[in-house]
Amino acid sequence: MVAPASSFRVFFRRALLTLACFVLIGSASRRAHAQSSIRVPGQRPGYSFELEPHVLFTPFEAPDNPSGDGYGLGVRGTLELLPEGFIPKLNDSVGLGFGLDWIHYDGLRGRGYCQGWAYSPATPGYPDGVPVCVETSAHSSSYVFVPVVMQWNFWLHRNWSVFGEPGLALSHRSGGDFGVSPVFAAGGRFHFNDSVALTLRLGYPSFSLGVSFLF
Amino acid sequence: MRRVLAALGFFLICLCCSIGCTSGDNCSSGNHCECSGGDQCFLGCDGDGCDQSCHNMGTLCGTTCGDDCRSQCHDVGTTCSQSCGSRCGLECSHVPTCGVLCGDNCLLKCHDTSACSAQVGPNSEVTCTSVDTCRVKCTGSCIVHCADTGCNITCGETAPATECEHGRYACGGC
Repeated sequence: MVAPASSFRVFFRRALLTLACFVLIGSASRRAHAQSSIRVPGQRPGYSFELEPHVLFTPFEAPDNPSGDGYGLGVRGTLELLPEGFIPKLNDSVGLGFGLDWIHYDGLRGRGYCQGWAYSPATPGYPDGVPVCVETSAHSSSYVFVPVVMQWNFWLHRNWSVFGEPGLALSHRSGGDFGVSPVFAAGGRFHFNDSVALTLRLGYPSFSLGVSFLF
Repeated sequence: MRRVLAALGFFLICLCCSIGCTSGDNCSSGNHCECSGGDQCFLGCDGDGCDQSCHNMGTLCGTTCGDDCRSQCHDVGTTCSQSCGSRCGLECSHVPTCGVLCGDNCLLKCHDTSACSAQVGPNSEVTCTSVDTCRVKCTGSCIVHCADTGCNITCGETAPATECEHGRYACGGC
């Protein structure tokens, strides 16, 4: 059974994230219509590099074991590659993003690794008996992800931009193996001014909420 | 522009809902707990009466439980491991090797495997179907149904079970 404190923590994190979603959506709906810039290429903050430290949350399992949700910290850097983007009539741009994310997974009680073995009767191939797990343990774990993504931005409004991010991430479990994970995310920024924005990213392997500094 | 924002809003709401509606696997007494995908997984149970299912795993699947549990293990690359206390219902199938340890009044079904190896407690019943090697050790009275070749049923460490009729073995009297 999940402990009450753990349940509350999970609920609190999810509630906070959901609230952030609705605040973003609500604010966007009210303000964006009057000052749209999506059809005016180039009307956006000028920058060549975006630095975005963020906090992370993921409802997804770790790449290679049942883990429950996770949380962590990270940073993302994005170089602007195509200021004019792929669509000439739209205010879009394309960047190359790379980052470093650390995520800790608490593990799930009742799901994890075996920490005690016994043996059933011997069979061919198992002269000493077939190993049978008699005690399991939840297994917390920490991962480091190094994502590399294409960031496709759409500059909707003076205060708002959204982006999609497909890519790949090298992953490493502490004390364990390396692997490669897909990365895909959709995100949005609320621009306080031309240099600073609040950035929310939803996707796999994790969601993030951070502050972008545009240089 | 309104349509774009509406579509974006709908997408975000759906994502948010999917976060809030995610149900956790509850491996606790009386609940269903499942594990599938990946390389290996071991399910435990906080108490008795769990309903466990471990399947479609690359290498190993295992379940452990107290009393009055149900466990299914199938479609695993190498081995299914199942351990349980009293009055359990276990099923193991479509895996090269099943390894089972359970207590009294155990009901075990092994089918479509290369090898089924089990140690069961008193008053248990085991059925092996389409199994190349069915190796059962009964620590008390038991009934074993094994119509295939490769049946090796013992009472205690070495005493052979009585074959009551073709494909039906017993320890402690037919």
